[in-house]
Amino acid sequence: MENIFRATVANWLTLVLVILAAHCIFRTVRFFLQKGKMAGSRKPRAPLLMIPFRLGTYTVTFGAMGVLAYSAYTGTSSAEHHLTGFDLMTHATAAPVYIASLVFTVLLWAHRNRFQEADWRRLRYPFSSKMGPRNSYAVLLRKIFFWIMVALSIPAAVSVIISLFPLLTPERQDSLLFWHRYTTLGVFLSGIIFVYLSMVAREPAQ
Amino acid sequence: MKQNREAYRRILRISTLLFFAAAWGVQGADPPPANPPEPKKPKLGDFSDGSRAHPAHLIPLRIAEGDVVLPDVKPPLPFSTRTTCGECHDYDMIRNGWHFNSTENGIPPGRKGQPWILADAQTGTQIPLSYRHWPGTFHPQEAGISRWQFARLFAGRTAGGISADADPRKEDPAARWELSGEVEVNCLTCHDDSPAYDHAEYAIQILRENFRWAPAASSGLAAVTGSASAMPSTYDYLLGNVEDGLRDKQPKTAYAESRFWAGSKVAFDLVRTVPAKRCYFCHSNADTAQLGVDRWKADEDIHMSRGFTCVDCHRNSLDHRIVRGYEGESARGGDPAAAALTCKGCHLGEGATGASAAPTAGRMAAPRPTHKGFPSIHFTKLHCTACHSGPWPDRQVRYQKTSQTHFLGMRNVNKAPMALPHIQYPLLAEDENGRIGTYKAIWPSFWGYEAGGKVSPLPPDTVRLKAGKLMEQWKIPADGSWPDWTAAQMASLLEALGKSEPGAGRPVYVSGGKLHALNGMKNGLVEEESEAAKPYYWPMAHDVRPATQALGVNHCEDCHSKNENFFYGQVTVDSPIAAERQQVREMSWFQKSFDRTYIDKLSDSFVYRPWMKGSIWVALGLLAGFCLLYGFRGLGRLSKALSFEKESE
Repeated sequence: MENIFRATVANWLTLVLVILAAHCIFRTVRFFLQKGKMAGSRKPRAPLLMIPFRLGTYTVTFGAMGVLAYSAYTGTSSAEHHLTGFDLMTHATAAPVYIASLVFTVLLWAHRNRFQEADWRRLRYPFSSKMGPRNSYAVLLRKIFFWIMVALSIPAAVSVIISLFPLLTPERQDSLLFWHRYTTLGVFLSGIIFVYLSMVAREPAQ
Repeated sequence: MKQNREAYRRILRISTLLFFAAAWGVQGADPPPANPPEPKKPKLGDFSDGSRAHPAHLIPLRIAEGDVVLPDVKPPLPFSTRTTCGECHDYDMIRNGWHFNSTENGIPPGRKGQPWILADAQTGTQIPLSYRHWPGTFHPQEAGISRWQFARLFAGRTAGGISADADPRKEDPAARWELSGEVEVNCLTCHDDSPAYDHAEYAIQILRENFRWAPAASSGLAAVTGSASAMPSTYDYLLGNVEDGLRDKQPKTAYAESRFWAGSKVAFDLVRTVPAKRCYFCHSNADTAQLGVDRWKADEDIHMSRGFTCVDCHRNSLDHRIVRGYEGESARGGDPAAAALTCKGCHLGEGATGASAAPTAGRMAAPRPTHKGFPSIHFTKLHCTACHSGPWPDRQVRYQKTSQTHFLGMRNVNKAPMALPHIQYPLLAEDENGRIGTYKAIWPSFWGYEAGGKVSPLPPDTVRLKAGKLMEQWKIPADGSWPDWTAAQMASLLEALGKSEPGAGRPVYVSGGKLHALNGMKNGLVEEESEAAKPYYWPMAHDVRPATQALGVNHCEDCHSKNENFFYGQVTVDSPIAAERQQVREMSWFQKSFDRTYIDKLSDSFVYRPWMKGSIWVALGLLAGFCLLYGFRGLGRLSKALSFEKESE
């Protein structure tokens, strides 16, 4: 079971990274073809004091996500395939940090990642710009993966936090652990995509 | 000429062909018929017809030579279980059972278990002995104990089955097997349900070297007086001729004639399902805080409280290879069916073998545990015994007396709580696979010689002999516990040992987990680490506490707290040296594969865990709120878009 999960993680992570790398190459080529003009950049409108707070929250959230992923992956690499010892402690310490900072991240970024008419128009009229301004696919995907990441974080956390109460038998806990593994895989992959797209994709200037 | 040569060649060819044909025929021919060995016919009592009824045992008694005991024939001789019981049961097969093969070579030792302990307060000795080569024990021969001496010392607390070596004189010239007889398997020890059966009498007869008389003396059928130990080496028990001065000391058997039925038969109250009271003579355990008038404070094993008896789980076939009941027993040479007679076998249904997929959980009404809230890692890192066996762990380990080590149930036994040997429990230590279970432990203490890195213990009698008058002045505690030795006393005895046998190696004293030797200064001692000095500990299962008293029933902090004793309990170093007894080892010292820093940090984390749980729930609530808020707004937008109406604004 653990081997299947590890193979799944490796395969999906590779796939996502390959796609992101291809996209990055594509953008770079396009950048040079368009003579240095980046489409859709917009000046930040937030007060200056908020910028470090935004960036700090952002960094803590995704830093904690990285720690969680790393400790989980290395922890289950042991012969026993159990997350235990210092890997477990690191994982359990980073988890509340991630959840708490995710709340702030959502607070600061949810509005920017809300779905708008421009996103809908991109879906309805993918090739025509006559029907009004449209967001790029990258922006649309950024929003989608933001909400996937947030939504999957809830079952990922609940599946473990319930195990900390004397409610479930070890067999049920193992079932929850199964869900935890696959939902966190979703969280991690959507997190990577979101981070990448939030760096490269901005809404067009209005 | 040419024709002759051709004729010769033809004859040669034909004869060569005939030769090879004959050889092939001999080779290919069927082997001469041989009489296959006849399969051993099961004896009358060994092949059950399936009846659960209790078979009557109205049988004649037989002496070792096979003759029937007739009450009116004088002088009466002791009956032998080998011939009496062996008439209907395969004695030779039973003889290889777990209880009777403890001194045999080549028997799979299985998981390490309780050793025989050679203890002596005067010489500060407690040596774990075993013929089973369990790591940490000494083979009796290493400690200068011959099989004959072993039988004298320990057979009284066994069910018998100790016989002389192939060459007993070579091992021990002073052995007196011819006089004492062998310690036959004493079937009555376990199977005699008669209230007249007296195992304490059996043990006394063993001490008197009356090995062949012991079963008769304990059976309640005969009174045995005299002592083979008082007889000269020329004594023949069949003839019974001794000089007048020894007549009163001569072993004599007097049968109760009223017990004989017509035909010289005797009725035995024998049972197949051995009652626990029979097991208890050799397998009683008593906490030293619950002895004497405090005995009422002790609870018994939950299984016994529920009406079990020992043999409900510790079963055996005719071969008497008793199921010991630990995980992996069948893999270590036990019966495959033993795998289902463990804690997990009955309570979880694990370990069942064979093609049948029939569930075994719940057998004998075993409740299936739910272990709600326990992460499954606990079941790979812990044995069931870690949480369920022995008393709830205190800050300090407790001490226990057992039948096999303290002669419980014997007459005139030292009833002092701290009489040697000192057995500590419950020790939460890990096994060779890194799994923690509950253990009992002793700290080996003995005088000996070290040569080539190997420490050879000396038996107490040899120490006394070598010490001469030196040790006579040393105080011996009245309760049979450790003396209080100083470094000067030890140094003087180490010097005496060195002088008495200069070529034997470096004289040493092992105690408190250390090896003590002279350092060349006056009264100076040096302490060294040694494998021989490490505490020997062996797994224990009984008494089992019920689930409501198991570790973890209150909360995780039953173990994961610095105030609790699973990791932080203290194990007192046990030694006759007063200074060493002040030292303690924490329980985690016996849990080598667990990182101490990790254990500390994990324990600390449980202080903050409720806060962590609370804050995560709050955070999850907020996240869910955001998702719902934006989700509903998105649904509204989707509904609007799907209506394909233009906004009025």
